[in-house]
Amino acid sequence: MSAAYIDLARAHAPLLLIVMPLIGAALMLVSGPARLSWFVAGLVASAGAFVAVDFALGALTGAQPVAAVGVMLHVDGIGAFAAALLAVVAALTIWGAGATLKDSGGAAAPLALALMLCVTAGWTGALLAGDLGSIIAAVETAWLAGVGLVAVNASRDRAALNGALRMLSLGGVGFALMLLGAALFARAAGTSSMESLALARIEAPGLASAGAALMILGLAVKAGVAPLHAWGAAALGRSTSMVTFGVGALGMLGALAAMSRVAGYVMAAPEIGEGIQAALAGLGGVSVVVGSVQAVGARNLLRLTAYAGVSQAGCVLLSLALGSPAGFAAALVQLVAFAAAALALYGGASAGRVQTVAMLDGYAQRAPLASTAITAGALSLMGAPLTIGFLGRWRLVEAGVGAGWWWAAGLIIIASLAGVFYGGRLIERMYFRRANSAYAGEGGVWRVALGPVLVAAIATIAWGLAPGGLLRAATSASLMLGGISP
Amino acid sequence: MITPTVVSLEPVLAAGAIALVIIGALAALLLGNAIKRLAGLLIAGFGAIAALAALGASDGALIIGVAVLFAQTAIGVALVVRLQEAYGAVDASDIDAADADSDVQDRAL
Repeated sequence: MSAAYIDLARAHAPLLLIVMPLIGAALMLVSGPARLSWFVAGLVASAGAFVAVDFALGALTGAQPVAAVGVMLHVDGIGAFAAALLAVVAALTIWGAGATLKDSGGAAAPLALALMLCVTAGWTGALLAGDLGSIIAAVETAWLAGVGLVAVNASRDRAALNGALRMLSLGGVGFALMLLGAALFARAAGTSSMESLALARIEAPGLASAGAALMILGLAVKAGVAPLHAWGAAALGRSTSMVTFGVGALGMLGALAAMSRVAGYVMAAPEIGEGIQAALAGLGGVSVVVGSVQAVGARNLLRLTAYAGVSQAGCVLLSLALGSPAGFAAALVQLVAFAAAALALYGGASAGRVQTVAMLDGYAQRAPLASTAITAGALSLMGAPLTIGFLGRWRLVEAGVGAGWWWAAGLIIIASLAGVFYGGRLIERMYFRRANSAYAGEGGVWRVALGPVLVAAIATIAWGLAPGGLLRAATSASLMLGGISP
Repeated sequence: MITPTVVSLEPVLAAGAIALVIIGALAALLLGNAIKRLAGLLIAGFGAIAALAALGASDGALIIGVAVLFAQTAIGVALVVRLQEAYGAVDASDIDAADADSDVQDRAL
């Protein structure tokens, strides 16, 4: 009997992945104390991660048939891979936020956790949605939940309201662009269904190109791609761990993954592929340069991490711009690298309530494990050998050189050199300077909450040393761009 | 004999809608006053919904657009009220100046 239920759940895993976090979010509103809410949210997110990984493994290896779950959902390789990554990151971030729950204010913590779960559900929905309109609805659900998450932080620091307003303004413009783009693209392709898009005959290539470019531009705003990232520093600069995890790690990852998925479909049309490639390459190049320069100049650790994320997002866009399965596989590996590095850096910093780079002085003596996590994240952002960051950039250079894009390889080297500068500065301050303040993080049993951050740090190294399984999964996903047959 | 020419309103409507999106987006990005920004977002959003209608999108897509725009407006109004309470201003230059002062004080500590 239970086996039948498990099979039923597996067949409808895409729907469960969206519904479970939403049910969890509803539970947050009635679960009472902050610690209990955190525990319930952690359980829900862990269950979601288990279902997502099981689903992705089955879908990408072809072992598990995917049920047709109505008109709203459509599963493809990028969606399955990225949904699993997002669910795992959500579980790690929620468990990792445990030690610093009271930073959000005891009463606001359940609300912040509920919004984190809504962010997860929204971006998962965007990765599994069956048509362009549903993708936009899901993206906006996630984005507005992110705005709310930033605003909840205002009980601690009023600057959060300014960040939330910037997110709302830029994100609102992104929404209008996406909606307009979807209308133009659907008119040119004759359909807005993801299932039909892969095989659609484009009747008006100019209209379709404009529509696709607008949709990608709208998603680029949400992903914090330069020069559309003005909300990032304001929203993350003085935030709590909930906000940095929920918006800086989960939100940016979800937006980049959704952009990869949409790019996969619109670039499949040969009539408009080249134009979209050029747009993605241009945005990616600008993002790498601007993000790297801003990260080098940043004095606030959370802003530095956000800018490093902008540079990493540029690398993802450059990979997508190649338009080949090798390029999409490189983009997926870079998404994993970004997620692991963001978790390690944001988590390591929030464990000791570190906000500025200067507060890292002597951090290794005060918090050796958190410093190890930050070091692993910084090394990965540099693209240092034996880290997942190196693997992602190597795959991009390999695919780029194969396509004759030497300039892309040059940009990756610039990003890595900048990473050596800003990442090296963090490591130097943690290990070679004298401590200028006491450890401000939680002690005792709550140090356990550092566990998920260490998992992310270990993952950055472990996947750098033994990347076989990850590369196979990314390659399988990139070969299933048009969808996985039921 | 003059034969009547069939004129479609669709391109005109679509162009008007796109113009609304551009005007609204510029207002939301460039104006300093938070209420005017919110108005810009509404104009851009209505422009996009009008474009959907002019280009023959489904009812579902139109409903999604209206629902999201409503949610944005509700959150935006709440933010403007909280900004006025916290800063005593809704102008971006005043708010940014107050935040910059706080940054300087934090660095001095």
